[in-house]
Amino acid sequence: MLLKKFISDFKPHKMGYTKVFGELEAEVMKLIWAAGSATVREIYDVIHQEKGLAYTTVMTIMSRLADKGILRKQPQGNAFVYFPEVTEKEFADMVVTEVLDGLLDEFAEPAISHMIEKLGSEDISRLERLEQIIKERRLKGGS
Amino acid sequence: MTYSVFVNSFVHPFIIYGLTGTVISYAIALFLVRLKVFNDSRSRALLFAIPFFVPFISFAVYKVFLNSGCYVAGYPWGFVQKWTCSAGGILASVFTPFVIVISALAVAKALLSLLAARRIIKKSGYVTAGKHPRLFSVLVSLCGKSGIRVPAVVVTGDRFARAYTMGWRSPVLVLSEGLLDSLDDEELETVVAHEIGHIKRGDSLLTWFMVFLRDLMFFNPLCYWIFKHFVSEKEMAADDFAVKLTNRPMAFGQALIKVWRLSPRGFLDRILMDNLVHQAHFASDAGIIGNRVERILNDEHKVANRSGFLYLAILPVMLLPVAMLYVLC
Repeated sequence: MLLKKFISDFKPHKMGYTKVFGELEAEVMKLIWAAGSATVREIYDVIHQEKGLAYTTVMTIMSRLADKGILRKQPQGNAFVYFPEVTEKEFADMVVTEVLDGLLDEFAEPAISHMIEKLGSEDISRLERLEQIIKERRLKGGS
Repeated sequence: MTYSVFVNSFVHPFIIYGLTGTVISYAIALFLVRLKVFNDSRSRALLFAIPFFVPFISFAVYKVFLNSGCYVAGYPWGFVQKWTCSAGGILASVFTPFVIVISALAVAKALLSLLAARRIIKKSGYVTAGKHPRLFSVLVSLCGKSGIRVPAVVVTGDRFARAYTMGWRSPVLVLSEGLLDSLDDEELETVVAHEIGHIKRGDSLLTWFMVFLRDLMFFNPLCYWIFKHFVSEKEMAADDFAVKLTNRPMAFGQALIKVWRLSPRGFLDRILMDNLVHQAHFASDAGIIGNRVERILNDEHKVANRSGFLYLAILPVMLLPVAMLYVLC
């Protein structure tokens, strides 16, 4: 997979996967990761409902993602089935590693001191602690 | 009316009322919120709002009906009047040009915030149940439960998480695409319930008024402090409403943290939100969000509110300072 291609397009101020994908690409990737695999028709059925996109637009986006190496396509009957090359977690790990390594190579000191400051922020670690409690209680059936 | 009459008869008492009325009223409110009967956020939000109105009520009553000027009337407390009159005189002569300019700016800002609300509606347009079925099914059900009309809904296209209500006669619920994408069904339900809480409580109108009054009393730094208290309590009151309506405290806590994480925190964004779209924000800074989540986890939202006592409490917080201001100036 051409991870460098994604990292070179890294947009730190965007939200979620739009940091590395276009908005529609991010949408498609989330759906494929959730489903495990999908045809253009399956993705189109979902996206068309929400965004009113044309079938050919969805096909172009999925082909582009396959060209970039994050999707793999396999012929099945008259259609192609698209599979993610890496899981969502693996992809997030790879992006984080690439971005952080890139920063640490050139700007180690400011990058590390910023991370320490961020990790040490009392309010943020308190929120993380609270979030953990909530997740545990929700797992036990609390709503 | 000459400039000196304006300074002595209008700005002078206004500054004294603005400075002392808020202090006295806030002190009484602080005392009352320590009592167990006013231990809920709804009561605290109301009690912290009153100090903003005391100076203006006193000013309207005394200037129009009673007082023709500031003078030492020979009361046993005459020396207090003498001091406050001298202090008021000095402050009025310094602040009058600022009072004129800032009052004009405050009016302009209040009108601009109304225009900003219209612009948001015009830019994004109202959405329908057909376009956002998940949102509307939650909204219709919660409005039915809380006995209010389904408000108009605007969904902005930005990727940040935003949720607030605008307007008072015909309230509008504003949510962002970023918020809708990031919350699961239970979390979305609690966020919508929180906004319904603001609509039911009429928070948009009250906050709009309070920002206007705070701007007019620019010479009193305590107003900014009281306003912060009020905003925090008003959000907690809406939190309590949301959790009681949906019975989903965990989903609500998670939604608060998610929205905080996805909230814009740029300087310009903050300035614009605080000044132009100040009606009712869902999220605030990390410390306040932490307090809000913690009190939900600790079941503090279950503290009963005793409306009867609350209405009785308005009397001392409102009337006592108004009466004291009559003696002061």
